[in-house]
Amino acid sequence: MKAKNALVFGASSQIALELCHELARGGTRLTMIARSAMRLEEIANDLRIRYGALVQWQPESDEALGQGLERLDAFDLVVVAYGVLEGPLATLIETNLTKVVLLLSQIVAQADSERPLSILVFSSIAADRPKERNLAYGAAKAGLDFYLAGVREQCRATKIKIITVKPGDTFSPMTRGRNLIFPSNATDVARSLIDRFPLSPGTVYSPRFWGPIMTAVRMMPRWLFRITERFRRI
Amino acid sequence: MIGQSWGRRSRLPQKLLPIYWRDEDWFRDVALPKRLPRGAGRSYGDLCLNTQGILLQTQGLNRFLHFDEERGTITCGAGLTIGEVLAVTMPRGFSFFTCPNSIGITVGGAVAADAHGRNHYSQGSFGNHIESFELVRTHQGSVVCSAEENSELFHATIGGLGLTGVITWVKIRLKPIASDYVEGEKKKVESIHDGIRLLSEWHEKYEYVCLWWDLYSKSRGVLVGANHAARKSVEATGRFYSRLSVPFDFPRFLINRRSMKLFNKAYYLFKRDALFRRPLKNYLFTLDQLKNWNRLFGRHGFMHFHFVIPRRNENQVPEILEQMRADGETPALCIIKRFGEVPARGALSFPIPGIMVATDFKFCGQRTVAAFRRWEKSVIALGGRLYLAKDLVLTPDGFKTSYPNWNSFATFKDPLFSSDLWERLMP
Repeated sequence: MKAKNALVFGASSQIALELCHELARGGTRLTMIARSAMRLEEIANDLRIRYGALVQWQPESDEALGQGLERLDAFDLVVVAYGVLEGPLATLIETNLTKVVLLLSQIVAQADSERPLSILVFSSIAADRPKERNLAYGAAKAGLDFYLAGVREQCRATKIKIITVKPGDTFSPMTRGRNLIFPSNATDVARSLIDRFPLSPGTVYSPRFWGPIMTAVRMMPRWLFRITERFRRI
Repeated sequence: MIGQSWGRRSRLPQKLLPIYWRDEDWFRDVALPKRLPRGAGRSYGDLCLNTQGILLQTQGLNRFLHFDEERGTITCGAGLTIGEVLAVTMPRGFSFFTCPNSIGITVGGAVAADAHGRNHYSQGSFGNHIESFELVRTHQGSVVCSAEENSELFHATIGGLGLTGVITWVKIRLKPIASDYVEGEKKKVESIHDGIRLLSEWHEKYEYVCLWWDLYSKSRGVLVGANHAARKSVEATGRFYSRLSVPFDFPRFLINRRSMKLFNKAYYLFKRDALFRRPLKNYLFTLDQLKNWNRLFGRHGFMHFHFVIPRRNENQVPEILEQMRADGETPALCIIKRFGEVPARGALSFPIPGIMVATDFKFCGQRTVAAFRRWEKSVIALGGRLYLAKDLVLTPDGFKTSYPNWNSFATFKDPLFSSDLWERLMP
């Protein structure tokens, strides 16, 4: 099953943007919501010129959210890609956790349980194990993971599928100037996701190789993890 | 992060900071160290390096802003590569007036180096077909430049080596084409004098003409000329990017005088005088059929000698080629083209009417550098110049002699921009 009609929150974030490219290329109709109207317009023009895509956009507001939720029945894919890596602690928790949880609770409450709907939510590999750098970011994303796992259970009898996406280190405005481990391009992250459509409920790592790596990292005894931290640049 | 140029001579660490959106603020900050915009890093020399400061990578500015199919213009982000643009425009019947010979370079880079192609004779270089662009300068902010508006800055930025500001988008006039195929002719030539004479003659009947020359002999060349096919092709041209790639740095000894001599000889022997029809991308972007071909030269990379001799002295070109042949260096491929009379727009644009020669040389230590210095002297003595986008050896004096407009350019250079090339030419 390919998505026919997708609603993308945070569409100007690099990975969501590339995901929009892949979807538009495949003929999906897109409705994009993000903070900056100028950026959304630029993305929409680009998608129209490249793929002749059917694209709508709206800058983020309560009104836009309300309209999106009202028309929720029209969509078969919802992508939530909110995230910030740097900033005051309150912003980190707010954007990465609170905002997403509030949005999801509304979506799940509105969605028709008889209609197939995939909800892709972007978490991070940073949520898998705490480390000194990105501590607040990782914690917020871990909280999100926890919430998503709960909602997934809640929805198990319905046709709503909740998918947690955990991208590895990716070149994007968010990671500018940072040292990255096995970095990928946002395009590869998006392609790796699209290749696996339709996704079943659960957690997916993207690109795939992060799956086994993070399993090992999670299972590593603490003393060994400390040693690896010392050798890593990140 | 290590950022290298395509010739891979420098191994000094470079700090790369990508720009994704043209409304971002951070790269306008005066407090940042000296900066240099960088596209795909496909220039061969040190033009795209800035060891002392930071590199603003523009490949995130890869969005099409507007495509006017009626007037045949496209407005696109400076970070889009030539291949990405062609992939969108060719199915709709448009190509560039001037296709640089690589699909990997970015549009912004093509403006900053005023890139040329095989049809310079009739169409001029990349800068000749630009309508306008946006430039982000440190003190003035965003400036839209065109031939009418901010025209001095417009002319300084074309061929301006990225030193006048960050180009964010470019509006380009496109050439309507009936087909994405070319039809042309190959012919062997047996003397360089014949070759240079035929270059002019062939330009009367073909748009894209170049002469491949074997620098290991005195009598082997292949002249290739082609025009856009007039009728629509039924064949599909296939993907733009080749799957064939050089996976790792080849051992350095694989490219030596003997193997290259054999390669050039074989290339000549397998060519026949013939007519051909093939996709434009295979014809113009020959080297792109093999991704990462620069790895063939091994980890120490290669140097590129790319010069033009003005028309009044072009009968001296064979002597320079002879000097290059006799010097015992290891050339790989040598391409000769003719530049036409279309005046270049940029203050530091490379093309002048005459004969252009481009050759890759394996890097063999200081010996190669010394040989380049000798050839550079001969070229400049004949009123010629080296292409700054591929240069590694040009001296400040040679630069000032061969690019007489350097002074007027320097006034438009953004004071907070710099590059390794500029540090070398204007210490």
